[in-house]
Amino acid sequence: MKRYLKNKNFLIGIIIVSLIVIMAIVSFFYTPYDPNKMHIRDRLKPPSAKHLLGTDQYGRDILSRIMKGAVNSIFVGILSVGVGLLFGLFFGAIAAYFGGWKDEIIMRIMDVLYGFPPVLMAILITSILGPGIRNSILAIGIFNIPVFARLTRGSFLSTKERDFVQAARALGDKESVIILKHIFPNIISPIIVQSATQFAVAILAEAALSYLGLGTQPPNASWGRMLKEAQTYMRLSPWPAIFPGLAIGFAVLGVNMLGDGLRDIFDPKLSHLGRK
Amino acid sequence: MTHYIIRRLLSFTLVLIGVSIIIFFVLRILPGDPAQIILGTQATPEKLAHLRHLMGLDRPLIVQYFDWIGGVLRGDFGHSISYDTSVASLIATRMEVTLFLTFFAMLLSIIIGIPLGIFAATHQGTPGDYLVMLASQIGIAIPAFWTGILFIYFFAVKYHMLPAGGYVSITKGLVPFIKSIILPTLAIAIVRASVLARMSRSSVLEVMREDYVRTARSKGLEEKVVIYKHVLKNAFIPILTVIGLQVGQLVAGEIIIENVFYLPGLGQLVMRSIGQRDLPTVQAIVLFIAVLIIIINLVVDILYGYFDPRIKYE
Repeated sequence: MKRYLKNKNFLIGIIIVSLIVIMAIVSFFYTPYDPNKMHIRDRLKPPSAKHLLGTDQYGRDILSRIMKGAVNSIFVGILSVGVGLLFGLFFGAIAAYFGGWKDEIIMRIMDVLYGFPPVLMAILITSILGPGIRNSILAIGIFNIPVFARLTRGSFLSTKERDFVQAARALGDKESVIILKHIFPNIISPIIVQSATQFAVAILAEAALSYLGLGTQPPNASWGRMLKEAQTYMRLSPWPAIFPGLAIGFAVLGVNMLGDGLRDIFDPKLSHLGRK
Repeated sequence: MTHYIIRRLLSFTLVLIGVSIIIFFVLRILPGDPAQIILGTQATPEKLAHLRHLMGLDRPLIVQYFDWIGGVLRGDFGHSISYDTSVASLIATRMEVTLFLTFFAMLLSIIIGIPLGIFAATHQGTPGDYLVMLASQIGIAIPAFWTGILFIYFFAVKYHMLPAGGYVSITKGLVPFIKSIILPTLAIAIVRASVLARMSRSSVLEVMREDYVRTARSKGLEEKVVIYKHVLKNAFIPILTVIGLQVGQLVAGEIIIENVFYLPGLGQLVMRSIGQRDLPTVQAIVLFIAVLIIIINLVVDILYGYFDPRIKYE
């Protein structure tokens, strides 16, 4: 535990992430105003005691919408990383375990998928299935699959040949036991670190897709969508264009720092190198 | 070397085929009938059948795929439904902005990112290093389209120094061209430079721990000579790879930035085509962008082999 608290990246990261998670949880029980309720008379107000972060073009409370937007970002992050983890671990492990042509085919497919930036993939998917949060999760999730598949395969291969695995094999352990009990615990830490990075990528990608109108649909609050709407009214009030962007920046910064901190803690050898 | 290039070209072709298959099948296999999408739910079955026939959708998938690919290879990307012109000519007129943006954003991020990374690595643990690391951490966290929006607010809305959007072709004068493209370029370059700075820092640090660097130091070489002659030369190779990997992200970032600044490039075209359910155009642009990314990566790969003679393709 002391190792965790001594790491500055981890500490700052976990504080920022906790704040955002708390904000999201609180939003289920309490928001200062109804996030979707319009008050036309109060439109585009600067921050004040009544509306801490001001109001948008429909007079909706920005703080309330940012709180709901946090739920949205976390939701997309968890599910899209989940999709990537589920399939990535599976394909990566199969490629590493069987090797040969199975490895070759799986990894070449992963290469092709990896060449697709998530935004491009999302454009492709939403152009057929239509815009929406489910399809953006699908798109970001698909992008995450090769990331985790490559990582799993690499770590799996290097662990497979280690002495303790050979020893377990010599002792007559079953292959399934070797994979689950000996190999898996050893590849879990890079996967956790990568999950943090991909979570940050997912938050950014969701914001971008919603900005483009492909992600979360109105009237639901999404940080990216809020920026899109704010840009139109920037001449009248810059505030709606500032706070959602800050929220995105903070969330991504927090998750990235948490990931960096975890990497340093899991792998002290690399700590001086900084994030790759 | 020739052998290496041939192997890279072979795998390049395979990836190209893979990408084209994915684009084609994602658009065909996913639920949703392109003809229905174009005509809407009110369309009569006869009209639907007619359009499906016109679009060749009533033929087997394999035939459709080879038709499409055959056309692409001959430079025929299909016919745009909403613009009623060939997609190839649409892409040609929109390419200018996107290519300039890619080139300048990449150049700028290299000019800013790599020297900062090298500086941080050679000043490891100093306040300068921390500053670079902090700034780049923030640069990565802030989305480029938000930076773009803030730029528009400060430089256009508030101080009227630069246009809020739109594009002036380079043929209409250098100064207006630069004015129209500098903010979007900067918005993208900040993110990419941040990533590059961090990557350069780690690869320089990694090389600095190598035995030959210790040898160079212990035989009394000046620190400057060690850094410039021994470290940078070797650290450059992983940095080059990273630049190649960045291209995909950079082009994706452009799709968004073009929409922030109302630049008439491929990114804006693809978004409009989605809005108008213009599938042939979407399909062609996605393929075009994917190919652009793959080609740049191929060039990087070949350079990689050129810079590092040790690299042999297995």
